Parts: sequence; C-alpha cells; structure tokens
Amino acid sequence: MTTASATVESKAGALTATDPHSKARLFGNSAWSVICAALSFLTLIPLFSIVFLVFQNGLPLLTPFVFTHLPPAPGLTGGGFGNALQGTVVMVLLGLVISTPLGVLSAVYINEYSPKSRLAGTVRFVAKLLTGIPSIICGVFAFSIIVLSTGSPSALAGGVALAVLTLPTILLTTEQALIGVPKSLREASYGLGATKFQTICRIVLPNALPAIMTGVMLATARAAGETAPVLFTAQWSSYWMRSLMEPAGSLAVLIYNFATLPYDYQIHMAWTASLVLLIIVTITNITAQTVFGRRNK
Amino acid sequence: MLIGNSPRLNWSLLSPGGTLAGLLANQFGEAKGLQISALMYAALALVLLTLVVNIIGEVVLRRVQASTAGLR
Repeated sequence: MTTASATVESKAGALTATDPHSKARLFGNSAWSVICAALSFLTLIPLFSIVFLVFQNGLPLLTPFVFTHLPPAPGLTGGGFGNALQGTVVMVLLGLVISTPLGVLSAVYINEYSPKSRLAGTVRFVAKLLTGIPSIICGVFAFSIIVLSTGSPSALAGGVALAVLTLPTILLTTEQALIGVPKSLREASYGLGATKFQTICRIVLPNALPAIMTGVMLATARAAGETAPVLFTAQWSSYWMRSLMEPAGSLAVLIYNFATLPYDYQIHMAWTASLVLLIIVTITNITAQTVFGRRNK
Repeated sequence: MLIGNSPRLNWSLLSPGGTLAGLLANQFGEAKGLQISALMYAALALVLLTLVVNIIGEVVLRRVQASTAGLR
C-alpha cells in the first residue's frame, strides 16, 4: 500500500514538472474527453439501428394470428410461427429444469461446503472455460449423446444443448450470489444451533435468491436467442410439437431458415419472429434487473 | 451466414470463406457415418482453439490479479 501511494506521488511529481495549466495540456485533456464521448455514442448506433430495422420490418405482420398458426410452406403466404414459439418455450424451460438444480447445487458445494478444495477450484475453472466455448459446441455435444443414441433429432436434445449452454452462467452467478451473503448471517445461524444444511436452506439460499434468479433470467434470455445449439439437435418441424422425442421448431431456427428463402412473405415472417424474440429477451432482461435487482439491495 | 461458407482456401478478405462454426451449422443436420466423424474432428479443433485462448486469458488474468493483490 505504501509503495503504491509512493509511486503515484512520484508520477504526479513528474507531471507537474511541466506547466500544469499549459494550453496544450488542457486542450489535450478536453480533446480526449470529446473523443471518448463520441466513440461511446458510436457504440449506440449499431444497437439502435438493429432495433429500428427489426421494428420497421417486423411490425407489419405482428398480429395475434401469427402466434396461433403454423408456418406457411415455402412460396405460400399466411400462417404464423406458433409452433416455433412453443418449441422455444419448451426447450428453454427444459434446459433450465436441467441446468438450474445442477448449477445452484454445485455452486452451493463449491462455496459453502469446501470452497478451498481442489475439486471446487477445478469446477470453478472449468465453468469459466465453459462460458467461453462456442454455443455450437453445446449442440455438437447434445447431438453426440442424444441424437446419435436415440436415432433422431428431438426437442429433448435441444433442451440438453441449452442446459449445457446455460449451466456455467447459472453456476458462476449463483456462486457470486452466495459470496454476497454476509458471513455474520451464517455465524448467527450456527450460533442458534442450526446445522450446516439448515443454515444453507433457511438462511443462505433465501438471501441469495434474488441474485440467483437474476442469473437464471439472464441465462434464459441467452438460451432463447441461440440458434446454433438447437439447429441440428432439435432441427426443425413445421408442425406442433406433440412429444419431447420428436423434432421441434424454434424461433431462432425459423429466423435462420426463413431469412435465406427467396420469398418475401417468409423473409417478413423471419423479421416478425426476430421482433418477437427481441421483445421476449428484452422483457426477461428487464424483469431480471428490476424485480430481482431491486430486492437485492 | 454472411461469410459465404465456401469450401475453398482463400487468402483475400474480400472473397467468400468459411468458419468452423459455419461448417458445423450447415452440415451437421444431414450428416451420416464418416461425415459425422469428420465434423466431430472440426468440432474438436474448434474446442481446442477456444480452450487454448481461454486458458491463456485465465492465466494472464491470474497473473494480473496476483501482481495487483497488494493494492487492494
């Protein structure tokens, strides 16, 4: 600490050796502020132009009709993407049902039971590496363990791919949430004679819940928008899904397929599906940040 | 999707090329037999590539954290 402040002082001394109020110095300072402000406005342009384009092209077809009807065959008009919405919702929920207990419980283990053990360190490291793995690899994984063994693409395989995708996010956010619970709460609980299990279930987890839910919601938003993991695990179906073992449509794959078709109506349908997906993801993100973020404070 | 997914080697940035992820996305759906194995090999290459980059990142991060540990 002392060495750090000493180096800061010596650096400040080196700076004041030149005239601190020289015009060139003041000009350089304000020029950098302007450049930084301009560049940060520049980063807003892609975001706003995407949102603008999606609304402009997607709104004309956005009617309640598209949510309840099946997609049209190539070249035909009319119809919607009800089955794709159904597939996305089912697969994302399936993915969360698998990854949430796994992620939360392993985070509890590596933070509450043995935070310093070699196993905990390995899990933490692997989870960090998993967040950086391309999403298509999650698809390849689910393809090789489910599609190859059951013999056909299925919504189940899509759900597993999304579970692998969301697991590291949920694990790491849960760990951060558990770290955020004050140690004094745990000590008070032990002081009253509670066991480790009672402390975790009644004190630690309820206090960490808002932060955990934020992580789960963010993982949901990401999973809903990913094309690559479901592209060849659930593949595509133009009909309503009746069981988890059959191929299923999803909004992301519908956008991927329809956007490259040479028919105007299908392209517009892809824009509308993008708009719906954008709205779903935005609502999930905002809910995560307002509802759970506020209670977290 | 925008790179063109061309199965050719090109050194020009302006001509179509391909990415590992794009290759997997385009061909895995209809792959059979040996093609699945070949695509798995491509996936392995992609995994190793990202793992190496991520591990280097993690090592750099740890080194920085270790060197600034006294400042916090």
